[in-house]
Amino acid sequence: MKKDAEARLRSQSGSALSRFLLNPEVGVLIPIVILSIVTTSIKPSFFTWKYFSSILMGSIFIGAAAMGEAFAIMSGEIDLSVGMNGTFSGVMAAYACINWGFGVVPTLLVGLGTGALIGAFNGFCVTKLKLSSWITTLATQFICTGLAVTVSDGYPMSISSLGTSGFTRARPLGLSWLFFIFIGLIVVCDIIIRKTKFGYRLRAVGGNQEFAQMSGINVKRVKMMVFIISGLFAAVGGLFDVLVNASASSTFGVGREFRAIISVAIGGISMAGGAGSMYGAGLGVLLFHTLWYALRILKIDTNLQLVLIGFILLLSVLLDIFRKRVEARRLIGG
Amino acid sequence: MQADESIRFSQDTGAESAGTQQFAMQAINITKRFPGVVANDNVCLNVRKGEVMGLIGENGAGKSTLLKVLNGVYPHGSYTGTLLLDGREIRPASPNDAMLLGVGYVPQEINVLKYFSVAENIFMFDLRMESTRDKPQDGRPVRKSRTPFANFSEMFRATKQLLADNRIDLNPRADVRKLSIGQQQMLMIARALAINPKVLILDEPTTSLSGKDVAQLFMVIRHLQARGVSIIFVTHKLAEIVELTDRVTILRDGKNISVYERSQYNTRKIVQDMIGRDIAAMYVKEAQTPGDEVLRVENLTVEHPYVANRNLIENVSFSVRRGEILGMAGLVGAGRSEACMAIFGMLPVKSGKIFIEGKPVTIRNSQEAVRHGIGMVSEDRKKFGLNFVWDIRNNIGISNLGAVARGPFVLKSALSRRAEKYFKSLRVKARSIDTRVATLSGGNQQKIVIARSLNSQPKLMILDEPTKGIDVGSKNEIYGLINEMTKEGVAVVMISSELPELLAMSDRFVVMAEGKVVGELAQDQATETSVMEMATTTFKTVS
Ligand SMILES: Nc1ncnc2c1ncn2[C@@H]1O[C@H](COP(=O)(O)OP(=O)(O)OP(=O)(O)O)[C@@H](O)[C@H]1O
Ligand SMILES: [Mg+2]
Repeated sequence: MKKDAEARLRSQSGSALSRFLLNPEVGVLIPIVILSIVTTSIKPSFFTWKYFSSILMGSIFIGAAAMGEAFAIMSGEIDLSVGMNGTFSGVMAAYACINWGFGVVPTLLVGLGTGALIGAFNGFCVTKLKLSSWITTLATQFICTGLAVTVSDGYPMSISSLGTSGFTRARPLGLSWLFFIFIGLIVVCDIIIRKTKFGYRLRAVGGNQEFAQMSGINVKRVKMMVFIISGLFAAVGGLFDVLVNASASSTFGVGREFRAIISVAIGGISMAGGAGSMYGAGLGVLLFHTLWYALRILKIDTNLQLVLIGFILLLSVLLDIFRKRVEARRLIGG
Repeated sequence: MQADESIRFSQDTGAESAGTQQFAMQAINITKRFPGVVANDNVCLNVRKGEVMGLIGENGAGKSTLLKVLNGVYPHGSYTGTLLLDGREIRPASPNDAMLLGVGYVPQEINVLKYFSVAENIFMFDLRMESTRDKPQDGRPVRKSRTPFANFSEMFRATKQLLADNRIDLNPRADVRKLSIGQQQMLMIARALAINPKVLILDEPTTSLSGKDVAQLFMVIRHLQARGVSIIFVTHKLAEIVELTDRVTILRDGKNISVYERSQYNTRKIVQDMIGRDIAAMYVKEAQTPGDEVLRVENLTVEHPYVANRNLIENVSFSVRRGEILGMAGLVGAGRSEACMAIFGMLPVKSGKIFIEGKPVTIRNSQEAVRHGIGMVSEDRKKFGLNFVWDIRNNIGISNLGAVARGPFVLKSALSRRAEKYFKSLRVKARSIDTRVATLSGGNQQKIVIARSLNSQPKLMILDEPTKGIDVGSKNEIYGLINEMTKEGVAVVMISSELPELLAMSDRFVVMAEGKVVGELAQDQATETSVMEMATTTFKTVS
């Protein structure tokens, strides 16, 4: 009986194939596959574990920032400080390690604390001072840059004394521990967004703020939390840098916020807020990185690389819009 | 069985009679499907020249869908069937297309540009005023403008004339933000009239209008009718069908049920055709013995957000008790909604006190109001009522996550069960709770808003026009729900511009006029005349 109804429902909403293709995550997977096929056909060595694993391992830095960005965008805001906040957090961690002689755990905590603090500052400006998140986080981006350069005095700060290089150089299953930590974080984020009260509230706020408030949701508190989480993930990205390089530098995270935003956007997180999938955002990062590596492997001129990246990203967003339009057409029958 | 009926029916209202009568517009055998729903199943609708055709049916019966087909919102090719305008087939590909062909359309939801003036709203499609400037006015030809700039002087002049011609009382220069919802509705109608339509389609134009505005709208419609314009008019109010229309078409479940000529009107029959059953008593009122006081407001004053030194409401005081329904009567614009919005924290209180269960409280925003056990169904469902990104389940469930969560985690099965309960008891017309609220008909969206407020299990429920846009059958069900609430001891504050509804449902009345409480009436003192008299007193003393 119930099965019948389900089967009918399914048949009404199109064939299995079209439903599969309309899945947001698949929408990102398609350009990744196309890109890989094209690159491999030109340069067969692209299709090797060596490249694939380095793409995966290399995506964790922007990936962490993108997770934070996904929270911000899904709640209807934006965080332009995810790059430089991470950089500054990394510099602070290194400072604590070098000047105060902190061990591994306290050093990492200093980094995460810095990120969360900057996030809380963003949240304060947006919720209490009612500033726009564009302006606020752009300003904190500058503030973080300045602070990072000041604290590091413009030089790389080595943290080799922590002895973490064994950990970061280890290659479990051909990948890195940090990569698995990152995957774990995506899973946690997905659960937070889809399954927790906070996740429901966040999506309600992103979908329609007035509606959320009418439903008894403390919009300000949700936004405050979002900015703190975003700051934490910025710091995670910064600390990944510090751990992998065994040093901190004020130049690490430059431009990362925009890469994070693009990844999130091509990952199918609605720029209007309220909807999206964390796995989609993760795949968006992967697409971005595959593209990056592919162009490098094909030895395309660096300046031209940027031009191509721009166009190919537009193309993949277009593809996504097209996919959504097909979906919408099925909905309104246009 | 039903299908056979509708096919037979469609033949004799559609193609067959086309030759013999002068139809301004005809829709023949329209079928429009959405995934899982046949919104229009072989539907026919026609309107003669200079006629007002009523269109009536339950929420989700397919009225708006049909109108959107006529108007090109659903372009030719996305449905099957034929549209004829003056006997010739038309295939509008967009609303703009339909507009140029002479089909004016006023959608169900208010849709105006807030930061522009009335005139700009009306002539947004032609800011250089090319449509009017070449015609000589007042004997003098208007100077041609060849600039890329908007022609404001001509725009204001043409708007003034348009409004005067159609007897619409609006100021062309007025800022749309300052217009009431009723005035915004009139603006939308003026906008549709700017192109001199042959057929004017009005989808539930009276849902947000006060009695005075409705009278004005009817005058405008009669005036248009006299000029040979045909009108298709959707409403849920039978009295309006009887008063205004020449014929009425009834839809149910996406199918034609019947068409009646004015001489055949019989409201009982119309209701039966609409909902497929008979309603014993429209208003079901079960009086409860009121318990302790739940809400008391004293001298509540709220300032006007845009106009300095003016108060939206002034020194408003009243109280409600457990199990009691307090009816707030008054004309639209009397400040009833504003008083309720202030209590719910949506407007800042300038002075005055609010007591919940005898304790003074400060409510700075809605979430504090919800925490104090207040629920509210707002008049403006688009802005406050729904999250259009979501399905029905989440829209209902969000107001009480605590009840469906274990620790920080929301249990989807519990959430579904709760949403399902309201989905069923309110008889929402949709495939399942997985349906996106954006695809629901207007009335069914309103039911979701009510369900959401009920789900938070409030002590005090504020209902601002709870049956706005809701069909007769569902209204009946909503009254039942309100009774159930009071039986459980909820205090209810109800605003309605449908006086009979308010009179039948309330235990006590507060009458407001011009932002002030002008009196209180017990149930046995309240009649339509006594309430209206009170509601208009201040106007009398002023003029
Ligand atoms: N874009 C859409 N996608 C899917 N279903 C839709 C869409 N638009 C309308 N429907 C469905 O089609 C049916 C008819 O809806 P319609 O809006 O025409 O009803 P209506 O008669 O205007 O009701 P109301 O009196 O509530 O305004 C409903 O079941 C509705 O859920
Ligand atoms: Mg409708």
